[in-house]
Amino acid sequence: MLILRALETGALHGYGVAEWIHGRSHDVLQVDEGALYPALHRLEIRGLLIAEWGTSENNRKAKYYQLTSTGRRHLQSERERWTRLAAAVGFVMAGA
Amino acid sequence: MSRASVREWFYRAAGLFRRRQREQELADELEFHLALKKQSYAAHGETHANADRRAYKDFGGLDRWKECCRDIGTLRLVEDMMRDLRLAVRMLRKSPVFTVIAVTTLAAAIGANTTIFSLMNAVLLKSVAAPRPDRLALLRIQPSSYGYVFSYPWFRRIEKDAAGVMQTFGFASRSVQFRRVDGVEKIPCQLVSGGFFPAMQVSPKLGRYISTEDDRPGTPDGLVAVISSEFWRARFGENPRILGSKIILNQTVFTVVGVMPDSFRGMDRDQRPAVFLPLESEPALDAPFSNIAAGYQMWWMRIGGRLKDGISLQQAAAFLKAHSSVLTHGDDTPASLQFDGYKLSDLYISAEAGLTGYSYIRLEFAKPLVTLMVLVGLVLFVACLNLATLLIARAAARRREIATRFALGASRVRLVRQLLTECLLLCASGMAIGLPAALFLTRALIVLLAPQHGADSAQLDISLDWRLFAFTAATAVLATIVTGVAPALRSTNRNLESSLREGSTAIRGADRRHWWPRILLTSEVAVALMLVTGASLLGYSFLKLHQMPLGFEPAGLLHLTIDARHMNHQAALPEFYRQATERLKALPGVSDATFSQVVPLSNSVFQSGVTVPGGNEQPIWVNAVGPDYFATMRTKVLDGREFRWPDMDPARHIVILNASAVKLLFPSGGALGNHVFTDGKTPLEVIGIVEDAKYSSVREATPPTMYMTSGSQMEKASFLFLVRTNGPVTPLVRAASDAIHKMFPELPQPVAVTMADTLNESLASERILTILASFFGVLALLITGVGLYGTLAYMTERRTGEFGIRLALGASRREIASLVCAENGAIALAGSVTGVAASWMASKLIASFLFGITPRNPLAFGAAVLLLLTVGTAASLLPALKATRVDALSAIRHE
Repeated sequence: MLILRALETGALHGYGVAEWIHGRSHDVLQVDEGALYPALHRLEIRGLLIAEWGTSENNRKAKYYQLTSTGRRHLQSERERWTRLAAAVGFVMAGA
Repeated sequence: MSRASVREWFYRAAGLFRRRQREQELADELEFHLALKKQSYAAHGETHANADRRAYKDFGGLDRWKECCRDIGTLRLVEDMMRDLRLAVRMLRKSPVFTVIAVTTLAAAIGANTTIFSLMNAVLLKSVAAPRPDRLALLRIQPSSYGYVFSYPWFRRIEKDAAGVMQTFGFASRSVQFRRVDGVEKIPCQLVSGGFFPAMQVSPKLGRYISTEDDRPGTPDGLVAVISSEFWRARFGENPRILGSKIILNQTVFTVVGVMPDSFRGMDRDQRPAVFLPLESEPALDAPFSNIAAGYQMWWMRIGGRLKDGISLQQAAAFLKAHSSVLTHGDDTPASLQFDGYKLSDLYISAEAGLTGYSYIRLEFAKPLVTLMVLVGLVLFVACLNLATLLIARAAARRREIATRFALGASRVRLVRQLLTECLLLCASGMAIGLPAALFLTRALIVLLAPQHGADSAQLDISLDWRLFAFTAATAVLATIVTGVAPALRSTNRNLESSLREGSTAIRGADRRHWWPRILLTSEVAVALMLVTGASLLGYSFLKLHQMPLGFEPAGLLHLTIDARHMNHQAALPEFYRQATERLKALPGVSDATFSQVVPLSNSVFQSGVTVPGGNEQPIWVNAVGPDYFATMRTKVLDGREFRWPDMDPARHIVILNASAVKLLFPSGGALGNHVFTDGKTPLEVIGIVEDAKYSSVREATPPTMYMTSGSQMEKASFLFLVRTNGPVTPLVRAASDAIHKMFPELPQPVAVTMADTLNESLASERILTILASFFGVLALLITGVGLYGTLAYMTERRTGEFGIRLALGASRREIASLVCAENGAIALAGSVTGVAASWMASKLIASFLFGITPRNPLAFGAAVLLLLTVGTAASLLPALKATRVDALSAIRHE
């Protein structure tokens, strides 16, 4: 879900995804960099992402990932699920 | 499967082939990540080396994640299988002798199975080349066993009456003379009624087919013909202007109106017709005699049908049976009519599935083929058992390898898979050799099944189809399982630790744990014994059949078929036969020549009801013969005399009876000089009595037979020439045929066949069964011999140390040898006992093929047992010899 969210704003390479999550969570969430790649590949096979080789800002060859329309829809449903879950957990914890 | 998972699967499958590219991309991607990370650390003021280190540390095991990504990208299972395959190839290459033996036996067994199956497929399984062949039906007269034959009036009757349940059609095979610019040629032809093509539902490739309008007597536009693609190609160069052109068949003009597509062969599975002609052209083709005009006298055509929509075969059959009485008690059917010995009131008509069409070969060979399939299946079983024992022996040698792989963490499933892959590779190689060999063998076998004598011979459709491929593949897979599973399970089911510790040379005594190979070998011997017993029974029975007194001498006899009825000078027929006979007699080496309507053992039958004054009508088999017939055949004349030239005068009403006919018609004697009647009016004087001679089958008892003069049948029948020589018969085949052809060039070249060949053909089903069963028996013996030898040789080698110790302790070399021989002796004996018991029970299977021998003949059983024990002993010789040469000292030191 986090990866999909990271790519919602535009195409990124793997390092970019890690940085984005790290930055957006105000350094709270530390992405396991190694595990990131199998995850990206799996999402790609499932058709939620497509990958393209492009040139990075420092002029190196890099693999950029981009959301597909299926990926976008998937993110949307995940987001709703998460919101509900978070709210529910919030209620439970607040009740204590 | 959802779209996403299909997509995933494709991606993974693609990974199998694009491995290198994927690998490179993965490396690039991760490399890029690390580079950026290092850059970022460096920007925060880390030293170069430190930045490197921290980047790697953050990533956490580059190779581990790479492997993880690889797994996502490919099919693990397939990749493992390919690895297994490569290993299997390497392992098999390391032991070429084993591999060659294994692949050869499997190739032989799979090839033999495929061959027999391909015949079975052609004869029993292939369906008619028409849409929805399952809706086709074939009519037969019950309860006769050969009831697929009808007379013309019955056909027209059924065609009309059964129209509500099926579209029926009649068909009959003929060979006709096709007039070409440069002479005449015999071609196979199919007479079909108007309902045939509409029921077949196959549209012509060109033009139109024969319709009901074409199938009427005296059609105004003349007779039409539809030709096959093959004939169109071969004789007309695929010229599309063939439509509307005339062809001359048996001196009758036909107009070609259509060309059928390639695969179309019609309803008769044994024929590959070049032309299809309307049924009503039969009188013109067969002139001057006509089957149609002969009405109830001639049973010559077959009836098929296509079921109407919504009518099941059972309903149609029930309808026909219920309506049979209309036919059998119809006002114009003569009440005295008999069919195959059954009275009219007992007969009824039924319908059976016509999916596979009509096939004479099927009627004749279905049972032998099924039996052969069982036998050849047993051969495959023997081969598999044999391979299994060899594999076990090998696996034992590879015990350390397997134990090591276990120790390194391979799972048992993984190891079993590896061993099975090896086995699969063997079977697949066997199949790769066996399949082409089978295609070749099938062609050779067809000659045994359906001898080829020009246009009249049967043409089986043995083309490859999915069934054959599926069968062969299934055979190979089955062979793999039977062969591989037991050894694979057994060799991986070992105590790991003990295997490693044991090493390879420890003394294991007689190794009592080796029960598996013994059980397998014992069953192998038992199955081989069954095959050998079957073969010896069949061989013995075949010998008996050949020794049967025939009532004539087949050696040195030749018959010559020539259709003289379509000669230009019909009136001169008797003169033609006289001239031709004289010409044949003048050939060097020929002692006698004559002609007759029916050649013995050729499957033609001619029957007639015969009465004597004051007696009932008796069914008697009839043959019309020329002068000196019995002298030519070497059939003894018991009383009276035989026919001479003056007797051929149609005005002379004389006959000769055989001994059985005399017994039937004149039980109290006095046949000679007496009279018999065939039509109730003309008395036929009996002028001679001859010994019984076989008529249509060697196996049947000789039927009561009456011989008439050729003169009395001259207009109706076509005669075959018979030539007797005292010298070699083979050169005469060509000479006789050429001599007649030179004399009458307007007739097609006559077909000459030796009587020995005819005799062989009449015993074809017995012969094919005997030859193949013997072949399979020998094959099974050889395989068993190899198995016994291989296993014993291996076991002996492993006991070298033990033998050394025994020798050192004072055992004599003879004792050692007997120790080795006892091993195989026990197996051969146990196998023989099991095999005899099994054969005893299975002997019913071939009982119906046996002649003059009981299926449990002790001689045949004894011979088989002796043969197997001999093979067992022979297989022990070499290992035993080797065991006695063991040098005690070196054997012990080797420990």
